[in-house]
Amino acid sequence: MKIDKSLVKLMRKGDEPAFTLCYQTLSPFIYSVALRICGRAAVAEEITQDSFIKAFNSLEQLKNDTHFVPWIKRIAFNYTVTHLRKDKESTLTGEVEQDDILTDEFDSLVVHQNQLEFLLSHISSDAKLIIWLFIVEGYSHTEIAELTNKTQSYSKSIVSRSLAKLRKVDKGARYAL
Amino acid sequence: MHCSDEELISNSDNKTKLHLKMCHECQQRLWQLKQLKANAEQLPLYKPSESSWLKVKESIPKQPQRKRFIIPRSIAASFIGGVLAALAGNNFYQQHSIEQQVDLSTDYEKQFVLMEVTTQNMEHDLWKISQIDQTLNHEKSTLKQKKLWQERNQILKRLLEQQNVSKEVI
Repeated sequence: MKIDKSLVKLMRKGDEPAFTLCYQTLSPFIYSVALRICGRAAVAEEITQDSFIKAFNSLEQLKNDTHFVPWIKRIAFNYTVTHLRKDKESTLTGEVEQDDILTDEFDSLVVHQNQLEFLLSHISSDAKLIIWLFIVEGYSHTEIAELTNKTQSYSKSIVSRSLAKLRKVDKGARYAL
Repeated sequence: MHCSDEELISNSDNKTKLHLKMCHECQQRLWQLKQLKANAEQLPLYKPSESSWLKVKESIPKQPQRKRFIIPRSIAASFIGGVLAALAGNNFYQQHSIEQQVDLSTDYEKQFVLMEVTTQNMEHDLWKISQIDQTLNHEKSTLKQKKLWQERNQILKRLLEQQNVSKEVI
C-alpha cells in the first residue's frame, strides 16, 4: 500500500484523476480496518468518507509528501476514536462497562488459522483499536495513549492480557491436537 | 526479567537482543507478535460502496492548495487600523478643503456682486457656474465636490479679473 509522492503533488495541484487513484488505492484498507474495529459497515463507511474528505481538503497541512499514508491513517484512527467515544456515550450511559478482554468463553475457543482475526473477533472495540495500533501499525504506548486519550498502562494492560489469553488458547489447542 | 511487548517489537537496544538470545519465553512472545503482524497482511480487504466515493468526490478541492501564510492578528489589526485612520484623515482633509473652497467662493461672489461691470463671455461663464451648482447638489463624492468648487472659483476669479480690467479701461 504505497502512494507515490508525485501523486500527492498532483493532488496538491487539484488533479482529479490523482484523487481518484489515491482513493481507489487506500480506501479498501481504511474501510476494512474501520470495519474490523467498529463492526458496522455504515460506521466504517462514514469513517472512510470523513477521513478522505479531511485529508483531501487539508493537504497544505501535510509537511512531507512521502508521509501521506501514515498521515491519512492517523486521521482515520482519530475518527475511529471519536466514533467509539460517541458510541460508548450513547449505549453505556449509566451502565457498568464490560471487560475489554473477554471472558471465560474465550478460553474454550479454538484458534483459527489467522490468530489476529480470531483475537479481534473476541475483544471489545476499544481493545481492537489498541491491538491494531500496537501490533500492526507499530504505535508506541505513548502514541496510543495520546490518540485514545487513555493512560499508557491501560493500553499496556490490554496488549499483555490479550496476548496472554491468546497464548493460553493456542497452547490448549496444540495439546488438544 | 522478561522484556516488555514494546521492547520486543522495537527490538532495538542491545539489552533486549542479549536477553532474547537466552530467553526462550521472550523468543516465543516475539514470534507471536511477528506472526500477528503477518496475519494482518493476510486479512481480506473490503471495498466501501460506490456512493461513498461520490460523496468524497463532491468535496474534492478544485483549486490547487497552497501553504497558508497566516498574518498575526496584532499585525493585521494594526494594518486595518492604519488604513481606517488614513481614510478618516483623508476624508477630514477633503472636507476641510471643500470648506475652504466654499469660503473662497463666497468671497469671490461678494466681490463680483459689488462690481457692476459686464464683460464679454460673462453669460457663458455664469451659465457654467449654474451647471456646476446643479452638479454639486447631486454629487456625493467629496473629492469630486472639491474639484467642482475649484472649477467654480476659477471661473469666478477669471470673471473678477476681467471685470477689474474692464473697470480700469472705463
